Amino acid sequence: MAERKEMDKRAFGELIMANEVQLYRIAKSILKQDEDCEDAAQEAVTKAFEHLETLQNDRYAKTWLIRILINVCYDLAEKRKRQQVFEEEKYRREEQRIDYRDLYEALFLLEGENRLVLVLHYLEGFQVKEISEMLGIPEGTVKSRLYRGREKLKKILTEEE
Amino acid sequence: MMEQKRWENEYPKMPESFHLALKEVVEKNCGLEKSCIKESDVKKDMKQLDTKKEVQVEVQSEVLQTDIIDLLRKREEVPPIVLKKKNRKKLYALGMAAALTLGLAVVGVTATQIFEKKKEEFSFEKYLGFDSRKGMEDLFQTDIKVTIPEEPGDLIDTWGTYDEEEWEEYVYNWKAMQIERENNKPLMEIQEVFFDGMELAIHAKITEEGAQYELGTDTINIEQHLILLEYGERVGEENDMIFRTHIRGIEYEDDLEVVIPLGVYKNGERYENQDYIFEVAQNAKITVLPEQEFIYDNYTIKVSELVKSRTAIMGKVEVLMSDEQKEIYEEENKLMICISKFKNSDGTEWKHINSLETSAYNLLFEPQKQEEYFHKQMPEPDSQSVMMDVLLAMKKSQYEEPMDMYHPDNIWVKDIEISLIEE
Repeated sequence: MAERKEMDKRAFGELIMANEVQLYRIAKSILKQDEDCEDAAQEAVTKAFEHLETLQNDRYAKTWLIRILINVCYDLAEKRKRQQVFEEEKYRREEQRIDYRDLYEALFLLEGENRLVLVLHYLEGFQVKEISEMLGIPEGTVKSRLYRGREKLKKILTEEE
Repeated sequence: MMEQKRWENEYPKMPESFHLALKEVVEKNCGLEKSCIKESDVKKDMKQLDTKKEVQVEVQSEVLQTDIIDLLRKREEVPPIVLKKKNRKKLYALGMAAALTLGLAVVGVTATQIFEKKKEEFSFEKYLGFDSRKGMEDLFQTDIKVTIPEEPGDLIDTWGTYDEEEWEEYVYNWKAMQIERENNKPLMEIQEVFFDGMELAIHAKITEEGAQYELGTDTINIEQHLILLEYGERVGEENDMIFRTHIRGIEYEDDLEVVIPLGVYKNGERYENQDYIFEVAQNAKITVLPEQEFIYDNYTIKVSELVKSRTAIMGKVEVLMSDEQKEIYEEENKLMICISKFKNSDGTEWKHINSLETSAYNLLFEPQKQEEYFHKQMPEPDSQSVMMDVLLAMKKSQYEEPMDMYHPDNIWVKDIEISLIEE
């Protein structure tokens, strides 16, 4: 039994590393600063390992991890938002140093909910059902966010072009 | 243009520091003397990290390798149709008629999918969320006379952002990208249309000719207004397609003139659109209902923009507070959100239909936002009232489970009765 647990941890570790690009891109859809993405990923991975025993089915390991990551990212974003009130000027200066491409900048003009589902669907290729399970929201809501996000993003990009 | 390529090109690339941070925490949590991840064991090229491909991992022992492969394989165990959809998105890269920049609704099928799969009868009303058509038979229209012109119609600049010259150039280039089809045989046949005065849904079947292509669109033209479909999708086990949208805000007097500009693709090439022009009879009436306010000690719930069809209601719910009330509330609850739930007096919940729903997630980013748009289906046609619950704050935030917005610990304003009767 103990041996199986250890194997699971190792397997889970490999799974994490195999999906590191995806984890980064999802974190990056919520948090703009790379340092924050790293903090969030480390915290999410730590939490996931701590609760690995609760994972009933290996099949869902990846979506389970992504869900944890999303929640950690949201919490961190909220924390940053509060800090921003006190460090607004500093924060803004840091942001301005990074020259992102149009699409990513446009994404951050969308509401967080729409941005995340767009990234999960269009960039990471998750299906509506998967996203629904991942975020714990109805499929209809995922579709609506895709629709609204797509519509807004299209408008923003068209105006820029 | 969109699509996948643009996402891949323009989305930020994973920095090395992220990889190292992740590696560090994974190794730490593996708790093994020997690291469970060795840099040398991870076959990857940082230059390729911007691709969508998952990094391939080589593991240390055969047993572990089997385990990992099994894990990764399990992730890939998705139904064939789902995999096909993923591929389709790439084929859509050339973009749609008026979709100047973004990806498309996922609509389309292939011959293999259609003819090799076990077929199940598609039920339009069930797709729309109804148990039966009882009491609303007239909302389903089957006598649809469709015209398919030899040439697809002109493109329309959805956002009006091009000047005339730019637009002409765009249209010229766009047309040049398209390959002429061998014939203009119908690629799909429209079976039925559902229209309740607010929602328009079209059910079509792919023909044998159409099955040679991948078909899709994310726009529809209604009464000269080009609007985005909320979501178009292939449905059921057969060659069924649905186009669904809402027409609120469009003025019309008699029947609706509708054009579906169907996009046609094969092997990554774009073919000429095929337009479907038809009329939808105006059998349904919608009723605009008055605003309603419900005043409580610390806030007021306002329901506005309320419209009722025979099968559904749409509207907006807001939580109004004075600045002082708001400040107190936020101190106590951290997050200010608003989610409504509609039900009958016996507790039967009204189904959510589309697109206008908001939830906690955006409100984490917009804690000041206190409104929600709703579109709910009536369990029985033409209901006279509905009970509404409003969730004002979310106290439960869990890591291991999805957020439970409806947890009893959350604060609700319960059982507000909204009248659906015209004054």
